Amino acid sequence: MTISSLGLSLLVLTMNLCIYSIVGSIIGAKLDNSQIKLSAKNAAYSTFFTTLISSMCLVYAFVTNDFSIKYVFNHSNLSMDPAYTWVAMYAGNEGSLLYIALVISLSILLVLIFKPKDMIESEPHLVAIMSGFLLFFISVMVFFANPFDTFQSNIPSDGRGMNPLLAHPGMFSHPPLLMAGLATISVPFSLITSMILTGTFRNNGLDFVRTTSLLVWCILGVGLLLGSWWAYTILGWGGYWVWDPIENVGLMPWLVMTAFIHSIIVQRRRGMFRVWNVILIFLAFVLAQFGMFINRGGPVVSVHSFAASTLGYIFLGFMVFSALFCTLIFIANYNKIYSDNKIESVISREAAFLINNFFLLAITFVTLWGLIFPLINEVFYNETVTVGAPYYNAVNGPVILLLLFIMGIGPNLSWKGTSNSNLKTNLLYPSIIATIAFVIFYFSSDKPFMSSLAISSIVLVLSTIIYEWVRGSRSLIKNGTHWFYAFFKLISNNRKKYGGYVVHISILLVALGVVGINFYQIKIDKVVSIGERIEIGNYKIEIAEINENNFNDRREKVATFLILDSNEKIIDTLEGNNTFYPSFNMASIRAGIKSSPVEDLYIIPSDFIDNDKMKLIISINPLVWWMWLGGPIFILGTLISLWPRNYNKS
Amino acid sequence: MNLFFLITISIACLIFLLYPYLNKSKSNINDLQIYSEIRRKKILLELSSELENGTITQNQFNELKEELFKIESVKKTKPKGKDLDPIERIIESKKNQDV
Repeated sequence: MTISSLGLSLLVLTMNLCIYSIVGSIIGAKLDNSQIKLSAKNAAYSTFFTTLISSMCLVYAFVTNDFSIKYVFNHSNLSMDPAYTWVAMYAGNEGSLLYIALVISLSILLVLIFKPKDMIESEPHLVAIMSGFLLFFISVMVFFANPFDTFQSNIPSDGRGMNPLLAHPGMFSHPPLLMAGLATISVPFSLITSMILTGTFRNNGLDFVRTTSLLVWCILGVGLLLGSWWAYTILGWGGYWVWDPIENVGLMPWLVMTAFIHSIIVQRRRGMFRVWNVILIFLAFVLAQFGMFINRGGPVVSVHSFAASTLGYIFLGFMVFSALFCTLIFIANYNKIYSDNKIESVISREAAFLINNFFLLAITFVTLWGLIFPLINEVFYNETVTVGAPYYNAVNGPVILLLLFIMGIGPNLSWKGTSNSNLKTNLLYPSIIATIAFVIFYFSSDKPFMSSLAISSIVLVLSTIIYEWVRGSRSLIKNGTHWFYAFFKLISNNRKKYGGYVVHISILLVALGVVGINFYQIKIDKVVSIGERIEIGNYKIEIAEINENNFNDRREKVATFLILDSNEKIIDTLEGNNTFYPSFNMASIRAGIKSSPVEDLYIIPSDFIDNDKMKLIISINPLVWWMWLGGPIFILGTLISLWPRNYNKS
Repeated sequence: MNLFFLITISIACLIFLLYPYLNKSKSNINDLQIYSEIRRKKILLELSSELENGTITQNQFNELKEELFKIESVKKTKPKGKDLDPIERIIESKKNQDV
């Protein structure tokens, strides 16, 4: 028995385990038979181990260069850096499906182990829904996209190699996190659906739903940010964010999940927004399936379509099925989930959460419309229309600004209603600081009005957070806490709230980078010869040398740039390369980047004209460094929010 | 070797699936204990809200709470429809006595 047969047999075994788990859970719940329920649950547990070993078979085939497997042949070759053979598993459609199945089976295992005891009533439904989701991916592999498909004869001695754009350190983190984030939206979805079906969607298990949602949201958010960083360093992706369809289908579920993790707080605290939360999680799940469809054979063109296949119709079918399933569950159970409490005041925390939700959904639908508008045009009017970054920036830009504004105001409002005196105490100083920032930026630069507004909004949010921290720490100091510990104690005493603030700071840092690059970027585009100097900002740039290296699978041209300051002193040396892969007929351009907290000097060797001449695109991108710092702070904030309190101690 | 792996994994899965049927009593008791814990929690929540609403006094609340934890029968009681279980019956009778 070959490794490919073992891998495929394990997939078939997993498929049968999923079927048993679904049928067993339904029958067990119907008959109220704990043996059948437990046996079905054990089957769900087992799927992780069978999927894991099947995945290990594929990784083993990559590492040992087993080109008898078609998938290995298509995504690996002998000259590939061996480190990438460990991750080439998710470089194409079939393998990435197996990776997604592995993530889903792991999430089933973890959810069943860690879910709170008081969710026992909804457990069989949970097992059935999650196993059903896993069954879909496993079945697609078994019947349509077998990653273990082999050549019957003429086994090649070398493979085609991995897509050159994927040969980047980002390959180790961005695709697995993004795919994991999209796949695990099924966890909060399954938890809530199972609770709705058993009539237990009240306050039982809400903390667990919140924890899983935050984790999923964090994984997806970090995946998106890593993708931005990757796209920033490799020109082939078109820039850190170009509103490409594949980028957008990752962003939309994240935005809806952002709305969900805010509004679930309202349900927990005030017993409100139950219906709204159900709509949000259903929408996030359907959008995640929409993302799968677009990514795997959807009808839009993208530079990111690595998992493109002819299976689009299957994923479209699953998306439609998911949408119908959600609608049916919602309509049938509306009376069970309806909440009695209503918003009492417009100036309250819950109202701010609702407004924040509407803005997030507005950005989602603007993005969705930009994505499907060309399709509608093509189908109904037979016209080819392209919707690019200008549309998204023009429509989403102002909404994002309003969202930032609400982010500054919302946390300062009280539940149920806020008195005028409270509002004044909480917002007076931050508003004054933000206004001063606006006046300074507006009158001291020739940049558009929006840039000053964006910066003052960032200042408003930051100053409200700092002001809140200062006031909280002060009150602890008054009560006898040493000033050094007061700040940390404040965070430790209310981790959910202050973890949220840390996440808000990370969003501000990302916003700062976006403002810097969109409003304050300097860019030039010039053909330059070796020895010639170009001036941009306070820098002078000279091409020191151009080298050409030939490898088995690629031709690489590397340019070395000398970076000089205004006093003609060399301050740095950068390298940029332009690599051509004949077997893919594809070029990959890597920029030379000198990064600092103030600005990035960004040199793109766009085209090598002769041996001593090249076309350069050089830009100074202010404040981008802060955008990447936002990632670790985002994770830190989420971890603080999730860190459990030591109840015994308190 | 690979065939041996496949057979071993399949047998392990089969045993894991059959285990609950072979070890019937343990899984039943575990389930009932969890159910009874949930029932206890729910009743405590109800009692707390009744205390907040003023339907019962603090003394009554403490008394009922003590009673709730004393009752062993809760471990063998599983909620069935809307019928009152022994704990609820005691709580009802206490409330009727004192209020």
